[in-house]
Amino acid sequence: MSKSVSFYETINQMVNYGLQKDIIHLYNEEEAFTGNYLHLRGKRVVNFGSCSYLGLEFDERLKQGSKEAIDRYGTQFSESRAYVSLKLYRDLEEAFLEIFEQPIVIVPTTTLGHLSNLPVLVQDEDAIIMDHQLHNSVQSSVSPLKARGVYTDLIRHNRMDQLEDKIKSLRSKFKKIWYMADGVYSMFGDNCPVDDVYALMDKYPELHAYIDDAHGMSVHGKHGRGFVLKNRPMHPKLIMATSLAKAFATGGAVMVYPDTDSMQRVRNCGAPLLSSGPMQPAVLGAALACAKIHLTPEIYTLQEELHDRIRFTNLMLKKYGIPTPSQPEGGVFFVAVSLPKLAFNMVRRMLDAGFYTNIAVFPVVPMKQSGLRFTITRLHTFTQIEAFIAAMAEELPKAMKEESMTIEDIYKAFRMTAPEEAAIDQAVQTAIGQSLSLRLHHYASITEVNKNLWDSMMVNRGSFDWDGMKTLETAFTNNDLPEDNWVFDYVVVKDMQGKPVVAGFLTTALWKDDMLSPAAVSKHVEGLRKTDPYYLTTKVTAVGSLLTEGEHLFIDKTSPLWKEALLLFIERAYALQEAYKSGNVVIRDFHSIDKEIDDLMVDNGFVRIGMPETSIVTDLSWEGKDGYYDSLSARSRQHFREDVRKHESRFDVKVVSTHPGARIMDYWYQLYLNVKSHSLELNTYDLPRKWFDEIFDNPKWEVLTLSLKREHGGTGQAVCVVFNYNAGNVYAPMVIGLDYTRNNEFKIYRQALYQLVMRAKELQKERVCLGFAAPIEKKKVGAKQIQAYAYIHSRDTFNMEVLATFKENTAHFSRQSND
Amino acid sequence: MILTKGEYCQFSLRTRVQLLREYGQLEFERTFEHIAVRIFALHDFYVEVVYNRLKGEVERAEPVNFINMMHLYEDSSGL
Repeated sequence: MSKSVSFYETINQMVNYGLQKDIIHLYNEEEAFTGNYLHLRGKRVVNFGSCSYLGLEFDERLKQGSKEAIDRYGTQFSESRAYVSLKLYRDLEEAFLEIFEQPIVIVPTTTLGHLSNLPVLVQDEDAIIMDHQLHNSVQSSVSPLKARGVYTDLIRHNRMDQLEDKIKSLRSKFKKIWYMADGVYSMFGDNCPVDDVYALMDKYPELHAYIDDAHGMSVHGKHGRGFVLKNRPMHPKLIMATSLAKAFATGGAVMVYPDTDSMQRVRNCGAPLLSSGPMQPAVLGAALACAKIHLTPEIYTLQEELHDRIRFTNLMLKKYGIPTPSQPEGGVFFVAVSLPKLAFNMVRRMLDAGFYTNIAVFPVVPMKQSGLRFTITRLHTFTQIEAFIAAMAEELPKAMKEESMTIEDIYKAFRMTAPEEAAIDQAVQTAIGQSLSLRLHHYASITEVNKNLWDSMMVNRGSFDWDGMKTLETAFTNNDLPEDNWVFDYVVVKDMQGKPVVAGFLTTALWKDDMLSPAAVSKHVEGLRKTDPYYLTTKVTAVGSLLTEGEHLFIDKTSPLWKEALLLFIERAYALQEAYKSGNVVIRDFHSIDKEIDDLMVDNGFVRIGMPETSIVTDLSWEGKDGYYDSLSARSRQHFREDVRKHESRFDVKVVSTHPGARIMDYWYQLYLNVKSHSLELNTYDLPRKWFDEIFDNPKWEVLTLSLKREHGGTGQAVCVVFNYNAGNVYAPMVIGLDYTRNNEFKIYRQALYQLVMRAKELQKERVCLGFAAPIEKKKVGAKQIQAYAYIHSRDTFNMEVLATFKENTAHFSRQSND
Repeated sequence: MILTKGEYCQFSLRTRVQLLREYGQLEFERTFEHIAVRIFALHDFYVEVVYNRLKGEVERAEPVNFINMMHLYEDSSGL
């Protein structure tokens, strides 16, 4: 399964969850409405989700403008604007010329405006840098440009220092650098640092800005021209897009240009603009009426009334102690609640209390930064606003209790300083653990864990039984490089009888963020790592480790308390994330999707991702080589005959279980590095040389070596070495080294896979876990491919989005290599 | 609703009046020719509202120290 499929599955899962809770995709059940009430789920609720900040949609002048336009022009004028437009369009254009005092183009939607602007204004020789929180409508409109080879990149939200660094590194390579941002951000309600962007545009001739000010229109500035142009002139290198479908209250959008030439080019060449239908008379009539209001002092009275409500809201949020990550100057507010389950819970509670608010969950916000996004309009009374905030203050503690969360959890998730009382709250242990008498045991080393207990859960799962963990701990501690030093944690949740319900080990280590990215992306990133070795790396706290595979997490689903136990485990994983300041928490691997586990994980802030397929030989019931041959499919038999059996007699195969000496080990290590340098599909750090020495202290490790016989050019040295773990009923080859110079001639890799199966049979194993990568080759020796899954929680999705951008830059990289 | 005098003063005149409509409690009212003066209690302070009947508009709404001006309302001959 591709990662994108999994991504959309997660979104689908989120939306379905909201649908089940009956809090999204709702319909207002009233036949008509004229105020700020909605009728939802049979109940009248105050609407805190409207973006019509000035409440102009009910203004009689706008309604009349619509009616008159319909009377004069009918319900629609169905002609492309390339040919003919209604006079109303010209009247409206003249009004907006007066509002913005700049050349403009009017378009039916803001998205259509972006789709018309960007392909015309951005050239193939340009680069685009997007703010991490840039509105999806702009990001989606940038996507087609990537196919043209336009270079794109991301910076963290509002980080002008990062923007300047990018400009410095890109300015010699690109003609123009476009910075794309929102004037007012649609989720957290904070603003673009426009003065800083202007200063950078003044400093760097290459820098141009494209700003979507949809939420700023009408709310700010002279004639309501928006946040970006509030108290400042249009910058000659700025393109601005704004919406008429929010505070302007009519629908449509306006694109604002620094000069007539840019405007005319979009008007002439903006394909979606020319091929889409125009704004219709009803909308044009209302828009013209609204534009006239914007050109009178009345707009300032309206703005003032709204801003007083915004000020009042900020005051009330503070007085009621509601956690908010920003102090908005516009109508968009965000209440932090962290995990999606708490957000769903709160939105339902607020609906029950008589208030409608928007849920903000992944992917519009990071997983653990879910919240309630609400809006304030001029139509809200002060008592409505206060009642709404008071209801939140009353419901939040109840919801937190229901979801076993504390206010401190919320502040931590948003990296905000918690008030004093929240710290006290955190001292109270979770209700779940106490009430259900589950007990969590946490150990810092495998030596502290009872060996029999650990092995009873883990021995048949891979190379992470008690002995395996001991080797791993020795190899990955006290090393020089940060990537070679892992922190180990063991968590066992037991029931009242002392029986384990959930158990697993976690390692905290430095991961390359592109580990699962396409090889072309990793190649590009590795190039960047030559100057910055830890670029796009993240400290990750993960169940399992970078050198173990299999279903690491023990869950006894026969226990009635398994869900609660899993929650305790997750809670501890989050605590470790905090303690170690890790970016991500990863719970792996799962060899199928268990709906109950899946729901629980997503509810608690995780996204399911598809891992590479893992290959396992599950049938070792055959007898003898002929029996093995017969067990293969017809196609695999052909491969076996041509590529394996033909060469079998040319190899000497040995099993080595003692250290071969430093010289030979150096050579084996080199064979390993050969393979590693070919394996960008699974891009990890090289294993430290020390690990190869340490494994021989554990008799369960053995090395299968293949050497070519002298009559076939062999030198006595191995051409392939495979490091295998032999425990329980599983044979687990973990690391391979190969001499590629002889591989094509003797099909060494295929021979090695075959010899591994034979060795497993000899040891009377039930399974051979051949691991990730090369699934086709492994299928030929009888392995089945199993789709593995993991659940990931990212404190911050920035690095992943940078990688996604690199992935989409494939056309640019190809063009570069052609040049 | 908890609001300090200082916070109240940050709002526009229109909003100050609206806040009194929604939260205020009318304590006293006196009319002096075409000027109506009303005193509202809002949270823990008082607000004096001056309404010009001729213009049909509120001229001001300011927090006041009511104790100091109570005599104006107790003794009608004072004005």
